[in-house]
Amino acid sequence: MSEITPIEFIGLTKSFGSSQAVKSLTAKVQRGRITGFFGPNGAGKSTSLRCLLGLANATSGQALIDGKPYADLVDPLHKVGAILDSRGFNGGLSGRKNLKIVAAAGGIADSRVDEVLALVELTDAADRKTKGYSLGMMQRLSLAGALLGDPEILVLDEPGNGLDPIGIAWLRSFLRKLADEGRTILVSSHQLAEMQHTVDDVLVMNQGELVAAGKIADVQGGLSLEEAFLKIVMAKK
Amino acid sequence: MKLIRSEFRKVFYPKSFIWLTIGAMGLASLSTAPAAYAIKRFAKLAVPGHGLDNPDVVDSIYSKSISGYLFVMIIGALAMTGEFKHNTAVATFLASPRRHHVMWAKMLVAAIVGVGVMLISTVTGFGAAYLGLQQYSDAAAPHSSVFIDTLGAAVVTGAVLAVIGVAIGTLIRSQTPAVVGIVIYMYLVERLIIVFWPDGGKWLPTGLITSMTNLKVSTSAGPMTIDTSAYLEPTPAIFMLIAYAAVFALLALTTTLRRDID
Repeated sequence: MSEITPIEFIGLTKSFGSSQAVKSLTAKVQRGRITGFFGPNGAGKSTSLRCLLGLANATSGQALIDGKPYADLVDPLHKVGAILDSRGFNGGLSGRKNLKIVAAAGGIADSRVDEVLALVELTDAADRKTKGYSLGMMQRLSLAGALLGDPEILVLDEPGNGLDPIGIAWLRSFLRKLADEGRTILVSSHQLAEMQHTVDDVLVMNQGELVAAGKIADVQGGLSLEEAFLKIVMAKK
Repeated sequence: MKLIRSEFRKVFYPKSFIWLTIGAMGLASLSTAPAAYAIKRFAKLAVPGHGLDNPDVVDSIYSKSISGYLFVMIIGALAMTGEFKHNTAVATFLASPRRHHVMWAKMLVAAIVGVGVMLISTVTGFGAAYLGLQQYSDAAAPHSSVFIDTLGAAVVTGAVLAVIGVAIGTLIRSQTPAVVGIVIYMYLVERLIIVFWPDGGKWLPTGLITSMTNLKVSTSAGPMTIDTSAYLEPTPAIFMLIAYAAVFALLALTTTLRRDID
């Protein structure tokens, strides 16, 4: 019996009016690996992730998690943790209260909130209003939110945005630790030099199309990830 | 149950809830406390027999205690517009991708909170009305039924208008236009409709709310001008108001299911 693919895009197309943001994307993300999702601004990465997470309706095709559309997952927060927008918190509430709201919606005990705050090293700031958080702290809080359900799969859209070098190094080791625990991670980023040391596999999109996919070493072809990326994207232009 | 728990936290955690409840209490008090004075002030304009010595007029003052419903609508609207203002809609729909479940939870919680806020503000209004009337020794005693009728109307109004508020927040999404729209509708549009189409007033939400209080009064005493003789009976008024909520809820459900979440 073949293993179910944790994340799979099958001919996914998303249009906004006459503009196609994603054009027939077909790709698989392997279990227990970190897959980098790269592309210039407007390449269709975030739109693809939103379709994957059921926040945007695909025009055609499918985006599946463990073989099912996100909306059909029985216990989604325990299956998938996601970061799509580090601004997704009520600034008038503390980090702890913001997470407690999400935890309640997922049927997760409040004690788990303290655990994930400790995991991302935000315990000291947990009771401060999030409008006073730095961008780096917001990213950590987002990551804490993604980990609330102790999910098997993580979908992270630019989690390194706003992190200082220490934060980026922390994120790299944190993602590696999560992958070593057997989790599947799909992470989009523009920080290619950093991602080169983090990801196992690569998906590259440009102008809504998948233009490269495979193990990072195969895609790099002896170049740095940044050089390989530029070569792939410029060739498409 | 878990969604309901989460929605209660969204309502009670922000301080804005306390301020909106205080606003409802304040509006109920402002609608009742000065009423006795206003009736006395405009006594010369009143139809004879329609002063404070008339229990029906005193009833009409107590029934104004229901006026805090504007804030209940706003609480309902904020339940949804807050999701988009703070970008928490993404987390909400990731936790519960079945969007209609989220909407039902929001509407149920808004209805429960709406009932609570209306009971608190209405009782506050009763107290303010009592204090206002205490200033005039010739004021008649109210009929005992006015309190039960007004509280009953407050319960229905709180539940229904909170649901309509959630629906408006879902349809408009942007917080300021939604709240301003509610205020303009309730305080301007409805009143203009009543001016230009008096018979239509009984079919509008405020007319239906007045119908539910079962008030029997016809007076033209200045700002207390009211004639409920042509209004609906309480039961059809309740059903009509619920029908409004059902239409709005249906619109909100279908809209939320279709739109992309940014």
